[in-house]
Amino acid sequence: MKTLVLSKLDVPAFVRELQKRGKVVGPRRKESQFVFDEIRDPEDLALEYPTTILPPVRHLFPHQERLLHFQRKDVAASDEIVEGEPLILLGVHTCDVQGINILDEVFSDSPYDANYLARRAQTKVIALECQGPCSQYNLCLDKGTHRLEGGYDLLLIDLGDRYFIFTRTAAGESMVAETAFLRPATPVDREALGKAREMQSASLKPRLSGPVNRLPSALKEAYDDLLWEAIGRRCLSCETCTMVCPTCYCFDVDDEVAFDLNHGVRCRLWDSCQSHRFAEVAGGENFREKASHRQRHRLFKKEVFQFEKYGRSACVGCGRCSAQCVASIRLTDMYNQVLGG
Amino acid sequence: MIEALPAARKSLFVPEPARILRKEKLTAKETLFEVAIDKRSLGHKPCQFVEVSIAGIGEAPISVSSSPTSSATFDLCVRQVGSLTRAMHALEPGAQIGIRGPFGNGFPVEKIADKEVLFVCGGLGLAPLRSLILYCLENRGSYRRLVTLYGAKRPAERLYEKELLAWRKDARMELHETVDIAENGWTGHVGVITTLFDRIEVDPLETVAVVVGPPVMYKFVVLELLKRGIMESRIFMSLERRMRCGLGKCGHCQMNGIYVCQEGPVFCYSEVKKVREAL
Repeated sequence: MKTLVLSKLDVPAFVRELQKRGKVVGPRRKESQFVFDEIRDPEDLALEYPTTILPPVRHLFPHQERLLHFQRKDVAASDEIVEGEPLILLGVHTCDVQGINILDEVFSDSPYDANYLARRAQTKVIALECQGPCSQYNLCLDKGTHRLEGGYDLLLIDLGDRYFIFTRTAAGESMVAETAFLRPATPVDREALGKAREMQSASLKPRLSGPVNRLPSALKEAYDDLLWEAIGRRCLSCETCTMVCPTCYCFDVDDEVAFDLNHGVRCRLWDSCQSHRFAEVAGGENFREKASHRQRHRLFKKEVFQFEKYGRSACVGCGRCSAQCVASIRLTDMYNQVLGG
Repeated sequence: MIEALPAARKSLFVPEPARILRKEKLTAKETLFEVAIDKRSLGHKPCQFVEVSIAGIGEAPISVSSSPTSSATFDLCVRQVGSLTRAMHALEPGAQIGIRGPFGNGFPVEKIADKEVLFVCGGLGLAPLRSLILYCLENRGSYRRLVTLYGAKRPAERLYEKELLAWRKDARMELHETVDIAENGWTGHVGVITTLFDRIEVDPLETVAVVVGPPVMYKFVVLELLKRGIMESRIFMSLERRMRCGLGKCGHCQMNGIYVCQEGPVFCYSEVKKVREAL
């Protein structure tokens, strides 16, 4: 692990260096909000952003992804499409890095997902620690995702006029190896780093009324609570919560036929467990017919099912689902209700 | 966080070319297709399923209806219910389809060896269960007794009518049938499937039950089995869902935390009795 310092004045030069290694995708302004998009002009990069509409992991698991070419007359002529390109995700908040870690685990779990893994294999992650809360809904302190144990190649921490950089992997070290404008960190930088992190810790407030590790058992106890009915009455099943979630990965598969009707592509598209017909079977029975059942399923998938399978939560506490819910359904409210208090 | 990413590999979404060899209309809505994959035999276990693919239409999960040991081909009993199954019904022998699979855990045949096996199936449940019934008939010596209870809504909706007639005469297995609505001169038993239980003697210590049917059927049948003293660990069932990808990812078949396409569709009652959304 190396520690380096990058002046904020040199960020455009750093981006240009990164562009030599692949497509750089980072936060940029879109009207009043921010999105993760390709950074062609380094001036477009907006590293001081609260959060983005969609999480960066969507560049590894795109909204629509081609799975195979087909010829309608000959199945043997079906040809897999596994795409990927050198990609650098720059300025990824720590919660969103954890989102990528979670999808890495899900998609490499047997049976593996070749499409995700091919994109991921060519992706480098440059993480960025937040300086403070991005909204009133973030749960990163409760979830412990305001800091990282891994999953990145480089980590940036804002020291005001400069970034402190930790390298984590060999790929990360190679990204900073030949750049003249980076200098090794000094004791002064280290002291500033300590202060920055202290300030971050002081500005982040816990939002849960009980210990986060009680969530799986508390939710299980609350399976039949009226809470879900109340939430279900407000939920419009618009699917926004699942679309903006960094760890939602449900999908549907659909064929698109070309105009000549002879060939086409099979695609997968994001799908949502919040859609009314998601759990419907051929006979017409629907196993999660009510919005209350579907909202409960969403929370259980994050906090119970994945906990039981992988020993960790699948909610990284980014707060997007709460912030963007048109019916003001807030994750914090639901968690606190089941935790009591 | 995982230690290292696995290397990129072949896509699991590409279907293998297969042919329809034979087509037999079973009822107004269901047709039997005998299928062979071009380059290999399917090598399935009873109660597994495949993803049938028609380019330009899509994919649908269909359970395999034939015994694994019977031949290099396999049977799919397909109900016309969605776009893929409608398109499949329009295909004739010789037509090509795509197959992925087999998927799912399949039936643990070792769990029923030397037992009295009671098959309880309703409606289209006979389609997957036939794979196990035929397997047991082929290996008849391994079982003390085979009993099949089959319920259909109407006489005209009975699947495998010719086979049912043969089974009725077959000394290797007892068959009891019922319909919910007697029509077309039906002279047999009338009533829901649980009313057939009065017609059979069950030895609770020796019996293993296998239940496959529409979702509504399970709790009533399980209750009936438990009343007769059959142990929870000896009640098996296939709980099929909309298994879209077959790879434990897409989420459609999830039954609480269980991906049916990977961990199911065959479950033991004692495993799933506390899983909500299961029964």
